[in-house]
Amino acid sequence: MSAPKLEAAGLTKIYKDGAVVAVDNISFTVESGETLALLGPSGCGKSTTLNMIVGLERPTSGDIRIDGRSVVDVPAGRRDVGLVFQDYAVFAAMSVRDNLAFGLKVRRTDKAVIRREVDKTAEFLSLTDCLDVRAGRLSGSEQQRVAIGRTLVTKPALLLLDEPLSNLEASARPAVRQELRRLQQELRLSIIYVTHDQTEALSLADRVAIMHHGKIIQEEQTLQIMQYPGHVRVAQFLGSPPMNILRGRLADAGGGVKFTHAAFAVLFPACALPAGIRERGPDKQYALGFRAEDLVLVPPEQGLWQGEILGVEIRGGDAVVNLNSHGSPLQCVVEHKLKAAPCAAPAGTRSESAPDLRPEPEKEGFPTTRRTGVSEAVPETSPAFDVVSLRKGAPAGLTLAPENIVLFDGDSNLRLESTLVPVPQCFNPQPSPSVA
Amino acid sequence: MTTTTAGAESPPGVPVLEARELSKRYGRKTALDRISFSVPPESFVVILGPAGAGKTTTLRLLAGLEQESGGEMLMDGRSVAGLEPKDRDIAMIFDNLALYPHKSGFQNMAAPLLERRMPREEIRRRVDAVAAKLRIAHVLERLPKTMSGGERQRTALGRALVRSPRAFLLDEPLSSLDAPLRFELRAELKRLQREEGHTFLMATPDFTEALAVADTVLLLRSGKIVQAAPPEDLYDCPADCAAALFVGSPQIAVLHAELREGLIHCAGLALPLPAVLEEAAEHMRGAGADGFLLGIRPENVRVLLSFPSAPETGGQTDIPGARRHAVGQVTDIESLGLRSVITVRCGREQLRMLCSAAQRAQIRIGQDLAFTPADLERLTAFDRRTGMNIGRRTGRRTFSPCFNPQ
Amino acid sequence: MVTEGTACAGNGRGVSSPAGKGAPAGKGLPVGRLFTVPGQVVSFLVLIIPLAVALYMSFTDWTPTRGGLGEAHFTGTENYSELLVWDTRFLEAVARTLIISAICLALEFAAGLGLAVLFMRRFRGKKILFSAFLSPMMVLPVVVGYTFWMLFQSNGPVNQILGFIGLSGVDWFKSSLPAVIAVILTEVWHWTPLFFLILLSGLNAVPENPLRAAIILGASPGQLFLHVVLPMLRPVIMVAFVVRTMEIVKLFDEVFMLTRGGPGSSTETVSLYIYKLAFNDFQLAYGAAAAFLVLVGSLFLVHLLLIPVKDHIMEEKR
Repeated sequence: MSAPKLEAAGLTKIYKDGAVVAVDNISFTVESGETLALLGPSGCGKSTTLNMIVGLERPTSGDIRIDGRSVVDVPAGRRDVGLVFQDYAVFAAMSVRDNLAFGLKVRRTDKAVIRREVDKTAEFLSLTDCLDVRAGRLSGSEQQRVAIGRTLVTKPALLLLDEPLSNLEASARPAVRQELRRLQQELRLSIIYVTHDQTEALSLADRVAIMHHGKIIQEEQTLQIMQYPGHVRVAQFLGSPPMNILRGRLADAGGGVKFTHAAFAVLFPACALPAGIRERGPDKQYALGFRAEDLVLVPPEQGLWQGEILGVEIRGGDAVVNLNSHGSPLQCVVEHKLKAAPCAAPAGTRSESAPDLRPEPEKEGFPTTRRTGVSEAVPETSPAFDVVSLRKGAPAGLTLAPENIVLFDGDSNLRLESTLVPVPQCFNPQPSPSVA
Repeated sequence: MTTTTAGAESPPGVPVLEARELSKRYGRKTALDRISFSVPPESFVVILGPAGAGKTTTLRLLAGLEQESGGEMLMDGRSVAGLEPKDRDIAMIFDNLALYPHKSGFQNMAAPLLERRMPREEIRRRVDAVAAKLRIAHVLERLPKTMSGGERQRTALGRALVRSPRAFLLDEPLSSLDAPLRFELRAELKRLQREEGHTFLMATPDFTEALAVADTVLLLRSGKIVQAAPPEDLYDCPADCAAALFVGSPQIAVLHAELREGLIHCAGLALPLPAVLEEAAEHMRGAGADGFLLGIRPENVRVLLSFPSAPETGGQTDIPGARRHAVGQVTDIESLGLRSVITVRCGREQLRMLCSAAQRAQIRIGQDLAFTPADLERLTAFDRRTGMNIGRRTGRRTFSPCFNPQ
Repeated sequence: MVTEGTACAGNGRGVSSPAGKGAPAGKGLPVGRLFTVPGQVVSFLVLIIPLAVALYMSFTDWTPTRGGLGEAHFTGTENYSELLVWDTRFLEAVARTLIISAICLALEFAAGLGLAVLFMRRFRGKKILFSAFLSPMMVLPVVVGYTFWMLFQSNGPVNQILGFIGLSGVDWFKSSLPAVIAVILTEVWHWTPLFFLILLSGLNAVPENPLRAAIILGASPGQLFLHVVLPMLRPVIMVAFVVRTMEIVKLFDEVFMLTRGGPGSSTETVSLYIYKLAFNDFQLAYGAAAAFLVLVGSLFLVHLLLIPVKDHIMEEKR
């Protein structure tokens, strides 16, 4: 088994004689052809980590190995690592061709080779048409391609991307993300992708390491980290909306599990209390985590428990309902049902009269709802609701699809290995609503 | 000509702000082209548009910071022509809400009241009340640099709120914040507006923000209002193709479609004509064309992992010749966390669809994948030449009995 | 101009004229332009009129000893053809000025850049040294000329130092080459600080990330400076050169104080020659023609210098 592409072991960076610990004893690896995302809010030590890997800063302690070889004492230009800066940092006064050729030129590569490599890279990144343009004149996303190309020409063992999308307009980002995925797939690059935007991390990385205050609080496969966050903080950071967290106690209760929250209790009928939890003692503090997508909004009398609607945020095809349930804030995703009678005035009459912008009279009560069948095709969401009818202050019933419930230790906030057994029949719709 | 109808239609609530045929030109450039809209009392209206659409210009005109080139603005039914900005009883909140760095939270929030020579106790009372509402009572005695980003933003908001003006104009107030903070504060804004009965007019380039908080969205493009609608209508019945592409992520797929023998042919599908598109069909017949653009949202396409042997007809016998599913080649998979966006190429067309993590695990780039539109009633049709939505009028007519009060 | 009164809300339709009190200033009325009138009058009086008079003068044979300008004969382009074809002293002065300028600028640039790069590092006494290095610029040219005239005397400090390190002294002002060297050294001492100042601010404005990118791509310090830093400094360098070129083609004070153009005419610059024409020989019309040639020539030179960076400088402004 070959050594991983990059191995960081106990990496630490302390500034100002110990006053500021920017990076605190972090370790991670990047396998060949893999993308690791370093995800965290600004100021969490991501950039310092990058600077240490690339050689612009010297770690206070710890080791960095590339292809099994320690590079801590190797100067920045000889580590075989490429870095694409957040602001692209193209050589604005040079032509695109000179930008791309730079890395080879300073290594005194043969002219013909440089030309060949530059042409190849330019074609790959669709920069051929602007090879002779001054780089400073290009648009943001073109400059970014130049910055990536400049690095790729030198064929680095490891590519570091520092917030590559944050200087781009929001509307340009999906296309650039797709472009980056193409790079990953066609070149099988080993990449460290630094970002504070979880969408980017999730859409581009194989694994995600979440940084907070200079520490990595969890490193995991992308999908795993979404479904089974290792820490309450991770759960509250990832996903939009993030996971709901309820704190309370667990107990065996008549063939099911009873979760006792501050002011109410929920019974999950067909679940058995896992052995691990039984050992730990159920009467301790637990935090119950579940995705907003797994919380199902039903008419009040049908819920396992009740809540009050605080507001609805429409997202497009679905909407997020903010609820207050016995003092705990909860979020739930509902599908946005197409209203029967759409749309205001047709466009032709638009300029003639001021559109009437009064909010429409809200319909009373809940529409009849049903849980979408176990159709494998439909992503798990609440049954379709007419969003307009979800009024603020209205009572709502809540049930929970327990397949993806995550349990955390209420004191340490760490995830407990034993989850509630994911049995599908665990979900127990109360009196089954009759819907055709 | 019909500018008077707005007043006649709304007897109880005269709009707080109203623009009639409002125009603004800078030299030869037209920034705003005869836009008309109204902001009813206690409503949250959002001006949504890309950079350079004229959002900020609109707000600046209403605030009196710039002179209109034509048209009229009214506050509570009275013209504001000739009124100085300070006499308009409007608060404007900018993106860079600069706080006085040397003043405490309290002093910052009290500043606008001190300028108005309000008695001390009254100031104290008002600031405390607003601080409580914004949950920043604990930072009143602290300097801005010791506050967190969110507390600073709230303090700045509080400074605008203590005045309780007739209307608030917000110019991209959250765009400089990190995403989690932005979500938190926009919910806060909405809550405040609802609970206090404020009237908000906010400009933003971010459609998620507009959909999340607005009662009504004004979609602005190149100085013109393209659509004025509640957020759900903006999403479901966009005024034209560009509006559909601008609102919604992942983006709507717009496919070339043809209507032949009562079936919509596109991307290998042959779909029965849904009720919402009946008028579109009529429109095309009238125009002598059978080609149009079909808009289909990613969440409205289902992935079929096994190619269905029998057509999905929902138990009914299907129209002869209908093909409700088609096959395309997967060109891109983008994870959104629990869900993924699959991009599929069908001939010259590209479709996007959402799938679950479990499904994603079985899909590889380059493979063939079957898919089917989930709900035909949620399709949209656009004119091939003008890009205008031609389908929605049908929906209106069909359902008018329960919609139209007359 | 009293169009006061509250614009009535009743007559809604139509474009309300921006006459009311609320109209922001500067809109509609040309008030803003009125403010520029005094400036335009002054510039007309002190700039345009003298220039026009001088231009006219250069086409005549006027000298103040023969009465007013009106009585002078119009001679057409005679002065100009004389200067450009026959007056070898003038042509030599032009060539000399250009050569001295080129040498001075090269030396000043090299020294200024070296100092600026040194000042990018951190060292003790940086602030004091910074002020010290800038001080020559603040000294009057005449004073500089006089001071260096004393320094370069045959028994002056320069020769003493030369003697001290075992070299024979030079009679600086007795033969042409040493005299030119003395002029150049004086000028370089006086104006290197300007290059230093401009280049230092330019270096400080160089964005950091492209440099780091180049380092990561494997550039050596030399390559970094040559291929990354200098190209980014180019607009600043050109601005420094333009400013100095405009100044140095008018080189006068120092030469006047040091050598009066001598020995012979071996250090005579264009300005000095024109001065002599006008105030020693009273050939004012001829001098005016020479001055105009210099004006046109230096304008041409500056534009030549600006061509490569014009786009860049204009672009930044957008």
